[in-house]
Amino acid sequence: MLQVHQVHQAYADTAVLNGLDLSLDAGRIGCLLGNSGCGKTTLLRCIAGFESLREGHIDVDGVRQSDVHLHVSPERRPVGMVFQNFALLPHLRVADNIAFGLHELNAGERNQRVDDMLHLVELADKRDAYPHQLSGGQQQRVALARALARRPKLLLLDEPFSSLDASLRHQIGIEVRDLLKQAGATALFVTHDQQEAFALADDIGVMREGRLLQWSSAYDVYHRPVSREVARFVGGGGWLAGSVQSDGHIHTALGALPCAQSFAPGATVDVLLRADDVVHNDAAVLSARVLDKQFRGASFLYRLQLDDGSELESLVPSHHNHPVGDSIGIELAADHCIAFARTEFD
Amino acid sequence: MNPWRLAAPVIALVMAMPLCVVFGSVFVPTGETWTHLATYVLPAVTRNTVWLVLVVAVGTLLVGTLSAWLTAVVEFPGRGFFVWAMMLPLAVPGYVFAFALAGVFGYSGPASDLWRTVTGQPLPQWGGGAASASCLILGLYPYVYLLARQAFLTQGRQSLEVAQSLGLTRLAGFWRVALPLARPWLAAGVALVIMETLADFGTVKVFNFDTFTTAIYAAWFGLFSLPAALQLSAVLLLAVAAAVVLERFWRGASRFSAQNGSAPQRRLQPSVSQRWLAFGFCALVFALAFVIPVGQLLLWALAHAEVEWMPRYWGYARSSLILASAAALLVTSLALLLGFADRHAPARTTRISVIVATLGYALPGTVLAVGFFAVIAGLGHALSAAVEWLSPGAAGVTLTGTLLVMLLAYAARFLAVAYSPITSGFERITPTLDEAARGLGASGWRILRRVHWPLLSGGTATAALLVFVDVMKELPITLITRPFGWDTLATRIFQLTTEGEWERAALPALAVVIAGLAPVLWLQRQDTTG
Amino acid sequence: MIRLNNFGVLSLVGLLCAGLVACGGNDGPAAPAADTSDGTSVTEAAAPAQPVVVYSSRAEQLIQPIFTAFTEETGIAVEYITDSAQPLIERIKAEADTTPASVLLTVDAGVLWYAAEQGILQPMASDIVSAAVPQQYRDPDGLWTGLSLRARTIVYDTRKVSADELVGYADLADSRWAGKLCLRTSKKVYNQSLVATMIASMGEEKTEEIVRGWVANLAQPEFSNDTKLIEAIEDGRCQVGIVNSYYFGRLQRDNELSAALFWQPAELGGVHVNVSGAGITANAPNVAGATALLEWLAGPAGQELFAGLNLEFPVLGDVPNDPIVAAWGEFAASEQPLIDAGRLQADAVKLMARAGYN
Repeated sequence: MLQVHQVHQAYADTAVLNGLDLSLDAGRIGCLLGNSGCGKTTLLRCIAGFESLREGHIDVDGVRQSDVHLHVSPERRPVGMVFQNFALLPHLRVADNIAFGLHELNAGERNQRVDDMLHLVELADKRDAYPHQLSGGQQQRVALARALARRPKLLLLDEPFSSLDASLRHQIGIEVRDLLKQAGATALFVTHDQQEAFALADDIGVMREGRLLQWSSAYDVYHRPVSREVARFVGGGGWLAGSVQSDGHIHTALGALPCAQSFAPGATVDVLLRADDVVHNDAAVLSARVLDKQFRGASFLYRLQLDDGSELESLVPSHHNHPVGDSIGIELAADHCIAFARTEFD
Repeated sequence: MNPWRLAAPVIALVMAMPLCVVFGSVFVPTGETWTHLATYVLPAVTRNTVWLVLVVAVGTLLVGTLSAWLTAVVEFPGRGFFVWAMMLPLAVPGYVFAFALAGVFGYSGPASDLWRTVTGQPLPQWGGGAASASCLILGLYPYVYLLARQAFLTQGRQSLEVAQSLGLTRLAGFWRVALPLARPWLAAGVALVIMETLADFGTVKVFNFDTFTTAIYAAWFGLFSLPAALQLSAVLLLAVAAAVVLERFWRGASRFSAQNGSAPQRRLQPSVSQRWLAFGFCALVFALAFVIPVGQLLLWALAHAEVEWMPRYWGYARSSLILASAAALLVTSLALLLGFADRHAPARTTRISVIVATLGYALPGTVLAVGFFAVIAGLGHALSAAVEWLSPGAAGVTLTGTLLVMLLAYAARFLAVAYSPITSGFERITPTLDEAARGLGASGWRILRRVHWPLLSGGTATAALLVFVDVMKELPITLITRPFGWDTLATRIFQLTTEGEWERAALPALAVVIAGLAPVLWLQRQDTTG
Repeated sequence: MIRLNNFGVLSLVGLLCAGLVACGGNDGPAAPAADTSDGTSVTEAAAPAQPVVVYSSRAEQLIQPIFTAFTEETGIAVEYITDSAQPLIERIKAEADTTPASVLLTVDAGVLWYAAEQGILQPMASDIVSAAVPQQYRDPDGLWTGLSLRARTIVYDTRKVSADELVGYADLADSRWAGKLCLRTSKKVYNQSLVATMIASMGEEKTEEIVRGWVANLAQPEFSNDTKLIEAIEDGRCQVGIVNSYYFGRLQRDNELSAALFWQPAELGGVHVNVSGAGITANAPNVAGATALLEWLAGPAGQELFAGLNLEFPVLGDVPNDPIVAAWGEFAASEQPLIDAGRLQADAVKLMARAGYN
């Protein structure tokens, strides 16, 4: 549905996007994840048509929208957008906000569409309210309904939850995902929040300094990061030195791990262990000292240190309450590994 | 008891003093004069006034909104210059503007000579109505410009992007989003223009166009019936009050405040021909509204400088500047108070008080001045009587002829001018903002300083600028309330123009323009550095 | 956007309040008045007597040199404020017995009549004034006196009209002037006085007929001032009009004019004149000074200055006219009492409105 190919963009000679590629299939929800200033919003604006390109091209539904010479103006792109602060028109009622982009339809169709959308976002009773009379979550849904009402081929969402209360975000994130799926929409959103990205997205792109580090399914971004950078940014965890065995397993201080990646036997690698890869077991042979712990309700996130000084993280059910300084038994529970060869830079 | 509930009625009480005189006149019988006015005068002047107000309102709305939108949102050659240049006509008093333009485009003026040389025909002369309307549009559009610019700057480019993302062209987005969102600002600007037009005497007098205001003066000066003049003023005020209430009603529950801070500004980049079109429009307006009239003044002033120049001009300028600055401070503070009162005590009494306190702007200046003076003098007499009764032989109290009274009279006239931009600023402070600030533990004073003031400062500076420039130009109140020796540049213009010495009046007129430029330039500097 | 320093704003507001209290406390007539044009005050050295306060609707540049001369000669200081006549009258009424004004100096008999009607003037007990100023230019009860005469007369284009063709004001209503006459707006008091005296001499019906004739003959919509009217005649857009002589004189001072003045002969009633004049206020704090000022103004020195400064005619017949004025020749001024102009002004205004004279 969406193809972005080798896109370059710069403001006043400062590169903002640096040769970006991605593609998103119809019906999927994509997410651009990155810290502020990484260029993710700029990419979104390029796709929407608010920015033109220096190099590369952007196609939506097989139709060229932007390249070096061509720039379809935003209003003629089959693309909808939900703005960061929702940007509802404060002087219009909810129904009029939703109907705002439906000027091609006749009055009857328009009413029907507005009704459908209100029904979809479950705000039929707020039809005549003004935006300032709605809660943040309701405003969000109106903004979605307004963007979806035009049945865009692609929906863009710019930090859709950043202006909502933290406590609401998760709940509304799930609602929005259901809504998008129900509407069969193809959507691309940007966020700096991993939890949001995992909760919503089918595909995740990790961005940094104008480059897309990885573009793959949410599962792969977490479990098969292509670089240390991605691995560190998404999920985090602890690093262990390991050496590659001739059978392809990697030997670490916690024992041997199977590894799908192929390294030269005998090479030294760094293995990333996610917090859920390290399991606490009082009966385990190995033990580690508790450096620090965070209570997370159902579980503790322990930060642990091995005898050789390497640090690990472990998620442990919260009835296992050990004081800082204690040694606790741990064992590996990973069926695969994330490992990177040591280079001279590391 | 919320002290804010008292603030607005107290301010309104002071500002309403001239209104009391106006509405009190309703009880004075003026039967025969009224019959005459109703038969021979009112039908024509009502027609003329409605026509003039409509044309001037539409004209200023077009010129002011377009120039504001261009300079705020579009990139074109000279934009940085026009941002402040478009405000400059504010510094030219209406009565000066009219006689300068009449000088340029009149039969014996340079434009006429040029036209005759080129075409061999005399320059077609416009009727009093068209000429008055053009002058008023060119002189008053900056009110709309200033307020509309505030609106377009604060709503940012995002509103246009919203429209585009919903399939509207930029033009459609301008009509359907940018303009409707700017409505409170535009309405405030046009309201000022309408009130100024209704109260205008200087311009219509130069072109001999009969309006409601000329009828008021005719009743007073010609028919010697001040009560009839006041009754006409009462009718005028009722119409204005009705219009204000209607607008509020029409706005209903809708809001216009942006939800959040707007995205960083990047202006639209139109095609080359569009850029030059934008330049041409702004240049034309600037030339007609400022370069040509001020150029004419300059020529006249140079020609008559020898006769007219004298060291007393420093004194005139000093008085003008002191009065204008003091009035700007006082009136802006009162307007801020009213704004806060409206916010913290949004009761009906507050809303009515606000309307009452800002009505004075629609009154012809002399009527307001006399009304105010009469009440103050009456208060003075009452005070003297009280003092005499308490301690016989003590010195009497004279309130009239003091600067305080003068400034209060300015406030009664110009509160509307200050209130409009400030209230538009308050519209931007959403109630959630207050709640958010309180939620963070900020006290009332801190909220004011940290949350409200940054959002209000733009409107407040605009308000102070408008009042300053208006007081520089003000005549009737200055004439009647000034203490001995407080002659200003404006009163000097009056001395000369009452004797028909238009060209000699160019020198003080030019001085008023130059003094009025200072705050405009200051505002501009703040605008770019802030 | 603008961010004013909070503290700065607060301190400014504070300063303002303090300043207001200070200024509001005592602001009596403290500033020097009757300054000479170079800005130095002449009142301080030679003013032992209480100053005379004048409210004037005559413009500053036309009175200030006169007051300076008066102070030099008599040692009595003069303070003044200027404004339009009606606001000044309202001000005196409002101030009542606390008014600082001793003299109301204004232009037009109608205004003087109205001031007298409002009871803000007192009779002046001055034989000098009543001896000097002819009776038709004074109030019968002595409430006001004229100080200079302004003639409102006919101006014509010598290139197109010969003086023989001209008869007088009423004749301008004749259809042979159709499309040739120009008039100033009826809102100007000078025209109101002219029509008021016409009502007094020939009755309302006849006057209305004449005014309607004028309106029918208009070449252009009414002008907003006399100077524009004279320029229109120079320009060839009209052939005859009615103006105050001193506007013509001012233009003549700097330009070679094709237009000339015509005086309606005595047998048709003579030339319409109006006055600028003055009266002593009912609550005058300085009656003696006020009387001295008026007597001096009605005397030869005052008259020469008073009329001369504005190319007007003195009320004293024997004071020499300005050379420009003298060149216009002798004319017979109407002998109608000017109080009629005031008494009938409102009627004149209504009549002109009825006749469609804007």
